[in-house]
Amino acid sequence: MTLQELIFTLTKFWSDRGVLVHQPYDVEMGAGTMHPETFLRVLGPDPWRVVYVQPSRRPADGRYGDNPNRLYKHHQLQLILKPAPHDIQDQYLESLVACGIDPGEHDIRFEEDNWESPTLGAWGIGWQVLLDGLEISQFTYFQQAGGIELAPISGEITYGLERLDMYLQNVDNVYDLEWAPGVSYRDVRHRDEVEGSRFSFDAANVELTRRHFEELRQESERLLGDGLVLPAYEITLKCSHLFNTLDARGAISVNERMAMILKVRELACAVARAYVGVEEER
Amino acid sequence: MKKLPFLWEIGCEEIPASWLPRLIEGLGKLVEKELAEAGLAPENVEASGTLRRLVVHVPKLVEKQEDRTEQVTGPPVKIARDDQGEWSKAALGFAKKNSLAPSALAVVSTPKGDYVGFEKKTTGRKTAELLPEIMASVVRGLSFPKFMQWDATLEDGTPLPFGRPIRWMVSLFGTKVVPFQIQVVGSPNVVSGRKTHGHRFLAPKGKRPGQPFVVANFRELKSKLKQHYVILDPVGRRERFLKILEKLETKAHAKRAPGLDPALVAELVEWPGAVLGAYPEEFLSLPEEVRHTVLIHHQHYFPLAKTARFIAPTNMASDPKGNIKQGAERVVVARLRDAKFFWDDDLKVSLAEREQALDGVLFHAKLGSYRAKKERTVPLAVAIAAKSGAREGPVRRAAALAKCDLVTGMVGEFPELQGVIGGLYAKEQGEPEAVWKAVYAHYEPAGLGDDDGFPLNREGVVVSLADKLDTLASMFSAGIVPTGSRDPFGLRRTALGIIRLLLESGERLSFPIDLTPKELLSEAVQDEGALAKLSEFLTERLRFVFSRKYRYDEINAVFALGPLERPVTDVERRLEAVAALRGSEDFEALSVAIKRVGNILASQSPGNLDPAVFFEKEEKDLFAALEAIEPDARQQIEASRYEDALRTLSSLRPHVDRFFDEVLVMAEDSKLRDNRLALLQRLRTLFSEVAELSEIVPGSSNEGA
Repeated sequence: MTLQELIFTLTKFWSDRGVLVHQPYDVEMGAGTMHPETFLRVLGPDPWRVVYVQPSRRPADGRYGDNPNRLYKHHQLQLILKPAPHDIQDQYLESLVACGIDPGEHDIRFEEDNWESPTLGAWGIGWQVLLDGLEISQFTYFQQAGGIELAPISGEITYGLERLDMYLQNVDNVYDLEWAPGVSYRDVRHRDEVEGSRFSFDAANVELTRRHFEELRQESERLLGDGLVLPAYEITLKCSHLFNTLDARGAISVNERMAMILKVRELACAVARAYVGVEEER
Repeated sequence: MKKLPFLWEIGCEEIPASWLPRLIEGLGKLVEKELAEAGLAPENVEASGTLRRLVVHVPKLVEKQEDRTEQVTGPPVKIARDDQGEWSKAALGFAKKNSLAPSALAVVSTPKGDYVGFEKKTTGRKTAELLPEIMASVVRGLSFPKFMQWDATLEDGTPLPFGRPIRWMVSLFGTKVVPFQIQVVGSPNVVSGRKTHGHRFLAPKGKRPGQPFVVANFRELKSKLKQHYVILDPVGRRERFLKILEKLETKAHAKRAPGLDPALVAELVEWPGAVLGAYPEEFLSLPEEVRHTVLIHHQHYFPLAKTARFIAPTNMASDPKGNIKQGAERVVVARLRDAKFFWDDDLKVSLAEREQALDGVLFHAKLGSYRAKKERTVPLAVAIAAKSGAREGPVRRAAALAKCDLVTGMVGEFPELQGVIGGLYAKEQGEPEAVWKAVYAHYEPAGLGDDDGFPLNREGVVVSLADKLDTLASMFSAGIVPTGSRDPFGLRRTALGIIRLLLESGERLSFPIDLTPKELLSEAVQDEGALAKLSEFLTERLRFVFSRKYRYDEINAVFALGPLERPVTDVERRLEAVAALRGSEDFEALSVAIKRVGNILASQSPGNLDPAVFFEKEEKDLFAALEAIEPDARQQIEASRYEDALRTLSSLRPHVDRFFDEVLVMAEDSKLRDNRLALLQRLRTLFSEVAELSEIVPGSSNEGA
């Protein structure tokens, strides 16, 4: 199954079950969880069901396109079911069947793995899903986001698309994946990986990045003061990515690192509070 | 009374395997407690379970509570009857209050006199009615290491946080379902019934996996679950798993390497299975420590010693297409490839050159980086080396290199290799054996665990001591002190590590450390306040360590001499001596006598001892006996032969006894009195060279530790 077929299959599978198909967010982020369709929608009482692919960039994970498993930017297929239905695990397993995985011929396990994001003030309880020993998904019952206790509880399933498809296509190197018939992952993404790694490890302008972080942080606060919650969140995401870039660049001292994480967290928590407040007023 | 079996299965989403043993035990105890408190006197509560179900079975449970009869009394008869001998207003009021007809009242005789009263009969409630309340208390009271919200509420509307979501429930008392419901937002209620679920993916021929099926009782639950590929009993699961492991070991002509407990792995599955996997031999060039870490810590696979093979546990009955084996091998190879990359890449930079990068690794926000820690640890290690007789050069070098592996790629990816990998890199990079071995195991021993390691050489002991002492000293100086159950930096374990180093280094490495904890602490801590707190903390930890082997009064007796002011091994030798002798009659009698001496001396000040002043035969005898044994006793104490010393001292018992029987210490003549006090003082001083025997509580030696 090509990477794009895998995306079609999973998206169709969930849309057939009444899940809204959203699109990737057009701001750099480290994981699909940071997309407002997850981070903000899990807040408050309203039910929501959404699925989308999110390109996720983690500057420190870049390997200049040399590593068969590690990527500067990978793709997550992110699903939120709010509230989490009682048969969420079964539905998830059916989605694997739809991808051609017969659970009777494999060893599929749910092993304890709780998720936590210090920058988002968020955590959840759950598992990593192992397919014959390989982690293919993260499964989380969100407990808190932006420092706010959640009710109802959302079920979040994150499919690691490259991982899963490497298994399905039986390839050991991510760049050997077939993205579309006759087109490899290497064709589509290798240059991006090489240059993305060079950018984040070697070339990013530290002074500029640091300045942008501070300016955007203030901008986010200002916007929040003006009641522009979604723009403030968008800019919080930019701060988070700038922090990751500085971190990968090796430009942050130990104490500074903690302080910066805290700053982003404060923004994210303020956004979450404002978002819930606005929702309540409506 | 008729008794019926009670069966209760709580079906869950996958519970973390490491919680299961305690969870199952806790469930059994809690059910037993709740049943007992409800007056249902359970005979035998059996708990079992897997990661997807917790099961309780009570084979014989009474059908209802006992009926109870109690006598309720009201006003005295004097008031209860009026002049005509009829029930008075007071009596009628009492009847009304208890919803009785006046005719039901009677006169009851009590030791205090006659009263109006009646026999109150309380019919015992039916167990079937009580069980839902009991089950609610149990699901509420069950303790998980971490709770989650899952939008669930019980029928009284209160939320039910749990370890993982509950998805089904079997509850049968006799043949009847005990009704129980859990509401879940946005989902159907969890309603108790007769239906359970088998293995997620396996079912007997002709059945679809995952379909629920009916069970009538515990025996049937167990047997049907087995048909549906679930072994309910943890012991049965473990046994099946061990058999499979052994079979594969035989097949591979290799044995499992240590490091992974099969019992824990058996909790990860409902139907233990395993496949034999292999990785390319080229990876055998990686150190075993690295390969095994990949297999054990990251995959829960069993490495087979000295081969490029491993056993991967499964939750499946077979692997007909080889998917599981192939998948396991691919994951392992990918991981090993990563490890190989880090190994080759890390070796390009010498450990020593990495020191600067330690600036970037935080030890603690208040205490700075690991480089700062290193700057503190090296001089401390050197000082300990000088005082303990370890070679300074290798100690200095090893202490400087010890933390450098924290900035290697390997530790970034496999944190559990810290220390070990630093040692291996140091070895590869040509550091002398004394140095690399010291780096290798400097985190050991991590605590009191049986599987904790120990430094490989003397230099390692010194580096480990210095590292741990610095951790304690710096944390305490920054005001980070463990309180109650809060010990986020594991300082209690750190202290236990120090105590073990001091206790065991002599035996394990012929490297006895004669430094006292006090000397060690004064090297490590500058701040007086922190020193006081840390001294108290370490004393408490020493007490904890010794309390596993010695009684509290024995510890008090030895600790009275100052537990930090002598080598820990010396404290232990004294404890051994006191424990060895405490059962003997002479010793206990002497302890009592010493206590008496202590009491006398507490309010009197002795004069100088002058043998010429002795008057009574018994005091002369005691003095002579004391004079006779004192040189021996002192020699034995000097040689740390405390048990011998105590035996020598015990020989004084008859003389001491006769002295107290016949001699009046508090004589009128002050000259006589002061001299006798001086004799007792000398006696006591000699005894307290070994331990403060007055702390011994007589007659308590049989109570068990």
